Amino acid sequence: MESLKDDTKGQWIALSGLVISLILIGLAALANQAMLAGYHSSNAALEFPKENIRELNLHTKDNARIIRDLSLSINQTSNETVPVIFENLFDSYSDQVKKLHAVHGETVNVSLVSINSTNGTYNHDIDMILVNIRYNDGNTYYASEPEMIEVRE
Amino acid sequence: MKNLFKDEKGASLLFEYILVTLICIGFFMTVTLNSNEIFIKTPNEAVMQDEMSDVGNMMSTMITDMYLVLPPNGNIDTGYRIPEKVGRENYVINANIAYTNQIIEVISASSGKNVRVTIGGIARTMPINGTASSSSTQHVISYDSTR
Repeated sequence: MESLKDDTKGQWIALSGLVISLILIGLAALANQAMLAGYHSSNAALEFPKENIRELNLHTKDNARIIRDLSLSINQTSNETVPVIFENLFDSYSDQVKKLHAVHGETVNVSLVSINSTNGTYNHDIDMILVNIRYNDGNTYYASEPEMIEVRE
Repeated sequence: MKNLFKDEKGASLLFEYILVTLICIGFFMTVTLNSNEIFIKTPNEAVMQDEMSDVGNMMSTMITDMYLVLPPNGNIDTGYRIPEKVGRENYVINANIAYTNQIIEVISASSGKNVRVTIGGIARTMPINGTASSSSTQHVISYDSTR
């Protein structure tokens, strides 16, 4: 083996080492810039509770239709009128949805405004209901007052 | 060819030293004079371009998202957070020209740099206006169907 100190050959190896290290530094700088770009835009897309609000609306609409069908069928065997049954059922839906969202740290309030029937037979059937939907997750406040829901298919 | 690296004729040692020294001095002078430009301004510019278009895209994303869930009657407010400074400068988000140009501007007042982001024609169906300064503590986008 030759002496480590006196052997001055191998300039090309040393030089190529330098070149490779420079390339690596350049790549690291580029990768860091790519990390920096697009943080806020993607974060905004993630943080805005678009799906939650949409889901709340859809659930309320679906449930209003189901509750209408239910109250019509309960009315067959009950003394209470359709609107009264509807109101009771809707109140319990409102209660449940409030609790479900509270688990995720969101305040939700769904309340019934009015029950409408176009042909006047108000006690026997329901066409449209109006509800207030409120949603708040601390950062985003949403209120639809009133949201009109067509319950007759 | 074989002697290319061993051939030391053509320049005396002294002359070679002088040449190399002069070149070094010239190089270092250029670097020193332009160091602010090279090491501070250029990276700052790149960072600002990136961050400002990022913030602009964020506004565009939020407005589009809000537009998708707007209630027919009612209102919606959403707060958002943006960095107080990009690079080393404060900036202003300006949406007042959205109605005519369909763009949102992010402007830095001190350097005059501005980045424009499109909002995909939403402003044509719904007026968008307002400005937000990066140094204020709270930022809100709000919509009200009754206005």
